[in-house]
Amino acid sequence: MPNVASDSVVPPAAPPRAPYPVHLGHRIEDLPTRATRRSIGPYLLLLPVIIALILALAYPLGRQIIMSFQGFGLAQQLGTAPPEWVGFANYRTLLTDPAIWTVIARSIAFCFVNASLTMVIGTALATLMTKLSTGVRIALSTSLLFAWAMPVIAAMTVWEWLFNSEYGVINWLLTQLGLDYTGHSWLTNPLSFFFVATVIVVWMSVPFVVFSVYSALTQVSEEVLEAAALDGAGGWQRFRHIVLPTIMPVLSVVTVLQIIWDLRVFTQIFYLQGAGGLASKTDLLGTFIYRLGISQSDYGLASAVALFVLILTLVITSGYVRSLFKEADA
Amino acid sequence: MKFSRMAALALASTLALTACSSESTTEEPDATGSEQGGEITVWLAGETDTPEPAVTWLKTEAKAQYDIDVTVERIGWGDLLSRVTTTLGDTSQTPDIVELGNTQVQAFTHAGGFADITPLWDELGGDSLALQGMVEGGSVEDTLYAAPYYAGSRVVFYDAADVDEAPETLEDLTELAASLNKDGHSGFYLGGQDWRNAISWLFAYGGNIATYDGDQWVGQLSSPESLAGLEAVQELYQTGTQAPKDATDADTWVPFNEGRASMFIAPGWAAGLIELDQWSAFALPGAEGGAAPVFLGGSNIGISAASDNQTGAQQVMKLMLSEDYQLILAEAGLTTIYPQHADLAAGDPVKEASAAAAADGKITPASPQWAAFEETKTMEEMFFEIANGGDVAEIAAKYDEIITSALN
Repeated sequence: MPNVASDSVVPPAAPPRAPYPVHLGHRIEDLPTRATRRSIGPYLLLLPVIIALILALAYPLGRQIIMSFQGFGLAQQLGTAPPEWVGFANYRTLLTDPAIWTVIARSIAFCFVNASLTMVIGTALATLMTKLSTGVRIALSTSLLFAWAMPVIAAMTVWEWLFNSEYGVINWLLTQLGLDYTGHSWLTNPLSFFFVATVIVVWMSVPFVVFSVYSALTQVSEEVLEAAALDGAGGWQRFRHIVLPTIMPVLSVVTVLQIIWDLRVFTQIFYLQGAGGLASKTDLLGTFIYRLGISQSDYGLASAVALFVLILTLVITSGYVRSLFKEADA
Repeated sequence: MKFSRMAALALASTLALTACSSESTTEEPDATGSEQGGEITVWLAGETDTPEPAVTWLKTEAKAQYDIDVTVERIGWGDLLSRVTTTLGDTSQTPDIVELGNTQVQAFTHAGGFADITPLWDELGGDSLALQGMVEGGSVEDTLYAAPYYAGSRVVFYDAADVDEAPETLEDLTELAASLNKDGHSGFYLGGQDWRNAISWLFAYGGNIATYDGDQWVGQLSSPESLAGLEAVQELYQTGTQAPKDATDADTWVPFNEGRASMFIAPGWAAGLIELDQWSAFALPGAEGGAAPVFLGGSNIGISAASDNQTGAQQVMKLMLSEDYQLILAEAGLTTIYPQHADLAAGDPVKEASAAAAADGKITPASPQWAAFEETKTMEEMFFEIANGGDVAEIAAKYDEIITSALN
């Protein structure tokens, strides 16, 4: 369900791609058209989206809210017993269980480390791509595209083999370098588990950031950069005062998306837990909710935690989203 | 400008939405045939547990006898519980017949997911059939919802080049393993998270995971017998194996085939996966000789209460429990519901060992909460801590508490 929620945040990404620095006059020009051309056309265009949103978002969300106030177990899932209303009991458990708060804290930490690393590496690579010759740039973007287009389970299988304690290339390489890594298990220690997970998640997320930021960078006005250079601005100054403000709208949208994605990361963690990670010490919100709901059939509590994640996501990203709307209104 | 922006927005969000919706439709399993006589979908657990010839036989016979097209889907053990949980109540998605592990089945029989098959079982022979312990597991009071499908005991396979004769006791086994253990080569391959095999040590010394004291389940890992078993397995972990601490009971025959282990423990059907020329098998020895009461693996099969082809499902289930079909399982080294199949074991070391181990086999606590608890992978973590050399008494006390609260 959160999948749909985050994807629907995508659309606002499109507008800021317009060449931005031309703020002056823009408003004045726009106002009369807005008043005169108020026809029903645009609303008709929105209709399919609204219907799709209701079907794909409102129903599951509503169902989830209802379930979070119910005792909903296996018998209810199989339809053999009616759900029982429990009021705020699930939320009380959620707020008072220290185990749940450990998972929440772990998830937030994981999310910020991964989102920051992804953004920094992605922006750096995108900037690099503007300086490369065409051939090298195509080679780089093709390999990035492959990394991004690789189905997640296929990629995870490869990563698991790389880090496999018995047959993994990583252990073999480290052993060849003179360190004793024979049979070293990367996944049983929670810290090195999250190191491996971070490598994989960042690897999978960077290409999207690179492409988005690179396309924004191509919109930066050469004239302004040249003028700044003539005025004596150095490389870092030009990046900080011209490039960064220009690509800011794209950067903030991509950051919001990264935060949302990394907060609800599931597949990578779930897969690595199956490959030797200790569930109780490595659960993040995604896998925790899955275990609670699907494995242990406590759908009521699982729904309550899932709604908590939704609220948490809104709180964390509210600043970015607000600035996004401000930009769109400007 | 305004218009094109809006159009782009609409287009982008429609694309985003169709992208997710197409993703979610591909997730759905094949719709099962709903026409009478027509199609029956059977979910078998594990990729290799039911031998392929049995599946072929089932398809042929179902077509010939009842004009039913049987679709068999093999579901990995790891996905089984979640897939059954999410589909069993839904007529359009549910398999008609589903196999579940004997530790998982109670959760579903108690929740009402399966149809009553007591008459079918009685028609096949009822009380005269074998595996009555698993009948209990599949029943709620006197009604049978999930019939025993097969049982399989774990046996120890060994490389005849390294091992001359079967050890008499568990202690002898550990000693033998330690003498064969060297860098990169396990005397006895036992993964650090392989709780399903390691638990046999606890059973062998007379211990239990948990017992029912009249009104609740109580963890029993700290009983003197359990502690003795856990300490014995810790010694094997420390002196007799090179298996990684993150390994489970999956693919334990691979290191054996590669010549990196002298012994390993696996269900009887693993015999078909061994590539060595000179090998044999013995039943895991008990603490004081004889065969240890190993963890008895086994499966029950049930008919989904939501299946809209109950007649067809009953017919196919009758085929799966028929003597001919079960014979194919018996030939693959499994213990079947027909007592006469036990005679097949004579002369075959794997089947003999399997029968010896099955005689005294134990299963997990019969709490309806066990399946959910097993999914938390707590048992894996416990044996990981033991394999890592932690203090056994402390570990046992800690997990007793967890087990007691989880099973009630």
